[in-house]
Amino acid sequence: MSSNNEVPKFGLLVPSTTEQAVSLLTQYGGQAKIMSGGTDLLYTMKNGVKYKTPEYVVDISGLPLNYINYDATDGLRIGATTPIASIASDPNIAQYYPVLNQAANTVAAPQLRNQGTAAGDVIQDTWCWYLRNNYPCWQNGGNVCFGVLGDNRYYQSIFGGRLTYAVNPGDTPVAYFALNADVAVQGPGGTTNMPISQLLPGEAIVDGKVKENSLQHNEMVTEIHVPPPPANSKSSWYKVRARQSFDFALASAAVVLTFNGSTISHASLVLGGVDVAPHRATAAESYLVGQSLTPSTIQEAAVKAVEGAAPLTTGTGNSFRVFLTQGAVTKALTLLS
Amino acid sequence: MDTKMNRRKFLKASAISAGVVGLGGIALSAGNNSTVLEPPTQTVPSTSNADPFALQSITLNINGQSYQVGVEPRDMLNNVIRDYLGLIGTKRPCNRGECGGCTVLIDDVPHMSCTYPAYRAVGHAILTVEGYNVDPVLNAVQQAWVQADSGQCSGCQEGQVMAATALLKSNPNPSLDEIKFAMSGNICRCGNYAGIIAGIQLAAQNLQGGSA
Repeated sequence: MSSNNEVPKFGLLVPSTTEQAVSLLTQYGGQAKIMSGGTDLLYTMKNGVKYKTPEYVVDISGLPLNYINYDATDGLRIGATTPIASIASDPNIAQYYPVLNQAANTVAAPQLRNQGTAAGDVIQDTWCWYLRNNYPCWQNGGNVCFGVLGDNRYYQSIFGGRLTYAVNPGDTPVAYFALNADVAVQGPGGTTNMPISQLLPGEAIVDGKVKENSLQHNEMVTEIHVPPPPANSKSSWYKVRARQSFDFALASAAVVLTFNGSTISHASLVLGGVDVAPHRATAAESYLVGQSLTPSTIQEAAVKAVEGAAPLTTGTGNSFRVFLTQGAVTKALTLLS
Repeated sequence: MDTKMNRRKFLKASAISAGVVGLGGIALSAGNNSTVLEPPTQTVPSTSNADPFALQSITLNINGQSYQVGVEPRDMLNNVIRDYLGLIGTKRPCNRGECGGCTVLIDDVPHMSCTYPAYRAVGHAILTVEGYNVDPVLNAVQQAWVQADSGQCSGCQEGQVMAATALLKSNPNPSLDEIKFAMSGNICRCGNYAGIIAGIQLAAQNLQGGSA
């Protein structure tokens, strides 16, 4: 169960096109994995998590997928290998998609934002510390979910689990959900576009294994597309973490509100770090439509945002994060009032 | 059993016994102050390479010197700098990209070298804490570090110095909030953050005074 802290031997495959990357994935079956930034994959490999450790790595960092294009009618297109730091500093994103700008600026550490990439933040593996540290949990060859039985304060869902309780750890995917983004996925049969909620369904079974995303072994994300921001809309982001320097979200909230005067005509409110996928708070969304932002409507929306919460009562329990989630929603909405 | 040390010792021993031959992990030569590299054809090796596991000889530009070294695909920049080239100023505290102690600059941008594949560094300028004589900003940060007593146990120090250098290169006069944001990837277990911030502010002041 321990590792020697070195990356195990792997074969390096360097495609020159996305088509070639996909055909390499197909050729090597489940034995090859895509590496873009590598901050997620190399970590898992060093920890010796066997079922996540590939024999071959397809390094796509050299593919021409490092771009951010903004167009008022088409919206925003972000290439898969664009560093998070580029998203965090892009002036168009800061102007038209504040929620994405702010979320990107809270991802990990400056060094990791320089290396970690747009698609990687979306499809990264869970950070359940039992799994990451190679405990024989049921995903990793055993028959127990240590997250349910043990210390589940930080990485386990407060909205219940299905096959796993480990939360989706990303920050930018929460913003993408709130902005109704879609992703381009390249497979052997060509490119398919799907809503991001289809790429991150919470959990998916691919090749008989539980996965955090619905990608087949020979598919890769090539682009993230965000529609133009609705007229008269505002957006905001708030992330709660255990330490301010750099950490995963204990709870986060991404909000996009469209206004008619001071009245909300459309609301998009998505919670991060608290469910197996970014969690759309539909009750709070429908409550907010027709309201204006006042301290009392904000408080009511925060209460409705955690409707359906079922925090774990086994192990350490994680009900405190229900309150942190309400706090994150309150803060994010207050930023817009 | 400390496998890291064994591997390192083994490589050093084989370098001596083999009389420096072109095998994996052995420094072939260190150029003499040559700042110009052979232009790489690609930053990463091509798929036409018959054996994807093979060792490759790559040339790295570290602190203005060029080093030729054999690496495996799995070798991280940190392993190469420390274990193969002996530049042990760059630390490897957590080896997971969680602490910032291994920070080096790649084209003036801070990266965690423990999580950066060495083969990707080909064609880029790497600056480590040993590069004080080729980089005036790094030199100024190190001087200020001593003056402001910014170091304690030194577990994180070299990474802090490099992150601070990257900050002052892109923002010569940072505010307190900008310093905290830029340094947020570097954890200090002694908790000497006040001393670190004082060192960075002093370095910024000294650099501006020097250039005025």
